[in-house]
Amino acid sequence: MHETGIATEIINIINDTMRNRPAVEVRQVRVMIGELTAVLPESLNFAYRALTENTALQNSRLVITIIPVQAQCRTCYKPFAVQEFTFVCPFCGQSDIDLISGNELYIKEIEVD
Amino acid sequence: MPVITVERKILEKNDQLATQNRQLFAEKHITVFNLLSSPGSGKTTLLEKLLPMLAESRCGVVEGDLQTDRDAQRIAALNVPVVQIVTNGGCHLDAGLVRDALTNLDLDTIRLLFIENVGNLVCPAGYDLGEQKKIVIISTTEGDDKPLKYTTMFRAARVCIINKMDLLPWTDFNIETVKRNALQINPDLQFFTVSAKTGTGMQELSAWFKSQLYK
Repeated sequence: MHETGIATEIINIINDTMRNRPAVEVRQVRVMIGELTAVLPESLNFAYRALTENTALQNSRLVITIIPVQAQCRTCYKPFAVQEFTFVCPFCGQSDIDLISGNELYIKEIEVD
Repeated sequence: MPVITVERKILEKNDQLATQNRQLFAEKHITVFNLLSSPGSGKTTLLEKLLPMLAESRCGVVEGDLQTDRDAQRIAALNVPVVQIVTNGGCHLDAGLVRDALTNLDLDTIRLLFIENVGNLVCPAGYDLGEQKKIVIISTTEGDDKPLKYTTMFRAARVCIINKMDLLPWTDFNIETVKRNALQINPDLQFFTVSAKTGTGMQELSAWFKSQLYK
């Protein structure tokens, strides 16, 4: 249930971004979430709707993109998708790898009217 | 529709506060561990047994709980400086809560600080508190497939303590299976197998904590 805390931080960043733009209304907020963050989109949407009710953001919605876990092997340098959280190179079997994506948790952009 | 580029981390505020905490700990030469587990895996009992063994390391404890200061009372009974954070239902500690709690500890007298997080294997994983290492604790009365179910936590942790080894003969928990599952998620994970109740493995664990102190 940390989605409530995350929704609160999203709203804080939106309000901070929109502070000097009082005339426009927020429509969509594009949020990027790495698979490794264990943030559930349904719970985040629910929390966002509940927290923005009867506020200036009540007509806005989150557009959530889930970013899959990608890694690169440090031995054979091949990039690969981490399947079912197995952090082992499927080409050479080494577990010495660099994570390329999967830990993201950020707001990319805001669409306004 | 016009688009405003934001490109800001959602937990940026927490990360900033965690960085401040980390700077403070470094200035004061305090080694800090963030202890994470399910409810009931024996975090507080582990600390109760460990703290007297680490008396020379001048420990302090930050206790995080949903409700009550019962855990802090158990630590205070050992004459170890402790401060309780009651989250009132909040499922994890964040860097701001820890920063506020630190004002109630005399950091000049502490070399080793344990932050006992709220019992929860999901939410606390994403919140940096400024610790050096996250330690995940799992007990033999839980499932040995837990690392596969709580990947984020086992990925974030640097050390895994397997507790309640005294109960192993009465459970289906397999040490090799849990280690294999955890290493699949995090190949660098370091393990300790202990029983806080009987003391098995506790000497090795306390020696490791001592080795982590600032020289």
